[in-house]
Amino acid sequence: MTARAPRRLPEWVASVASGVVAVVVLGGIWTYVSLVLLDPDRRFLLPPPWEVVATLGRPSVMQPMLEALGRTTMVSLAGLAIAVALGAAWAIAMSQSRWVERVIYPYAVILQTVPILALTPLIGVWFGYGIPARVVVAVIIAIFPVISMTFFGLTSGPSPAAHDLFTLARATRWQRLTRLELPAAVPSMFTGLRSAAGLSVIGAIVGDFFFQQGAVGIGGLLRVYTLRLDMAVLLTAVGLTALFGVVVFTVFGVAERLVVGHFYGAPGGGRRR
Amino acid sequence: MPAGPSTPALALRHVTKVFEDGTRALEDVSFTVDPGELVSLVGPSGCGKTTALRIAAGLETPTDGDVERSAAASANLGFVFQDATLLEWRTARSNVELLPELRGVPAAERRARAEAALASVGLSDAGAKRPRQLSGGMRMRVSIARALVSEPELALFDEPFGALDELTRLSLQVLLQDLFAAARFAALFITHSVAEAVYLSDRVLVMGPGRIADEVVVPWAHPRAPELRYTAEFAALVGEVSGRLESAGASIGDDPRAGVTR
Repeated sequence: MTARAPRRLPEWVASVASGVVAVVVLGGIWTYVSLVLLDPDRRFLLPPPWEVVATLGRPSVMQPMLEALGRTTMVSLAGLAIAVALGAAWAIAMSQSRWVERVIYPYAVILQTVPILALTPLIGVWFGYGIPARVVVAVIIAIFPVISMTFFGLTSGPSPAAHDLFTLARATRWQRLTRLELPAAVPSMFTGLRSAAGLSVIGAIVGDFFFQQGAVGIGGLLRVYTLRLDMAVLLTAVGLTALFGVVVFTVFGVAERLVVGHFYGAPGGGRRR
Repeated sequence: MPAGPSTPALALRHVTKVFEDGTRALEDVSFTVDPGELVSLVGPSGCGKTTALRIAAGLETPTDGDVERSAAASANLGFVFQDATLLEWRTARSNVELLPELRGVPAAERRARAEAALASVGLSDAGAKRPRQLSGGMRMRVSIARALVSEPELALFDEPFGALDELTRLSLQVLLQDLFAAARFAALFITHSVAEAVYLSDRVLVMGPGRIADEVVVPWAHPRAPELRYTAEFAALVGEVSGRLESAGASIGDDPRAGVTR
């Protein structure tokens, strides 16, 4: 008699099942807190899940929320695009000269470490209190992973032997950059891009929150709902922004897998010698 | 000075190399490689073979002594590294096209050259594959094709078969021998395998720590049949070179820091 391996659920079934279990448990705890722990006169602080879900069916709530999310998306994408262009140029400049690296790297670290709250007055004065200022916040928050991962890829991606190969071929600095260093840096750049994409969403929402002139973004609506103590709608907006962040992160993760997987064999980079 | 018929493709004259940390890698090393000649440097790990090759290529500068390459060799140099050093994001064909591409050869011409070079190493069908889709032996074949695609006057080989399994290594020795017999470029071949050096070379330079200790002329003309490696004469010559290698390693070593491979 042959021994049989125990039957296993297909992976997707296990994945869906664990997701359902998590939602049920979270919903249960939420309902318990709302209906049992909170007094009826304080229940507005955490309305039960079905009241939150019900807001999804109210066009008067969802239409402005989706429009605001659309604006935040545009701000986030604009911030990401600028962060990628600026961050890659910054990293390339550092990779080409030790002197440039010594001069400008500290500013990248400062951008990463300074609290955005401390910069908002300056940003407001320089860029106004509307959409450009929100884009600037998204850029500041998203740029560091682009700089650091691109720089890492440019300097650590190509092997010493690959550099020797280009030296023997008498490659120009431009040829070395475009045919060796940048292609070798792509896996690292995608890792930075994925992080920057998530951060640009956070940056855009933070920007909405601080700079509310002009068309309102989802961050601005969060503030309005908070002032109104409209918690069901606020929770819907929070859920929507979280979902937005997950979607952006996932989209760039899939792009990374497709591009890096096709050209480099495995996503995430790191290799050589 | 223009290169004449008797001018060696490569000459190292009294070359000494001391690294910044004080390590003496080479001490008064002199040898030549003539056009159409394949010379092997054989020696134990750490004796300075790779340093000598890097100096020959111009990747390192000697502390003392001179390196001369003929103008043709300087302009058209092939190099094969210890590992294949293929660019992972390029196809095999595109890797072979790299050097002509860097030299500004038109796309159609370099593609034709790459196809021919891949065919010469038996990889006509693998041009569209990426390096990760190739075996270790196939990757090294692509690397050889890349080094030979521009028909170099001088080709330098840095233990290219050292990491391969024995069967692959034997087949690549035959391949390289055939390519050399057909093209007759000047070549300097680094290896720690005496049998490999004897099979491929016209001359074998035996290295002790940091210097050339002996030289053995290999009597057989190219092309050489693979079966040569299983003859009594071949075994006798391998034994002789091995003996000289052993005595070179035993008798040299005044400086304990000599011969560290860099």
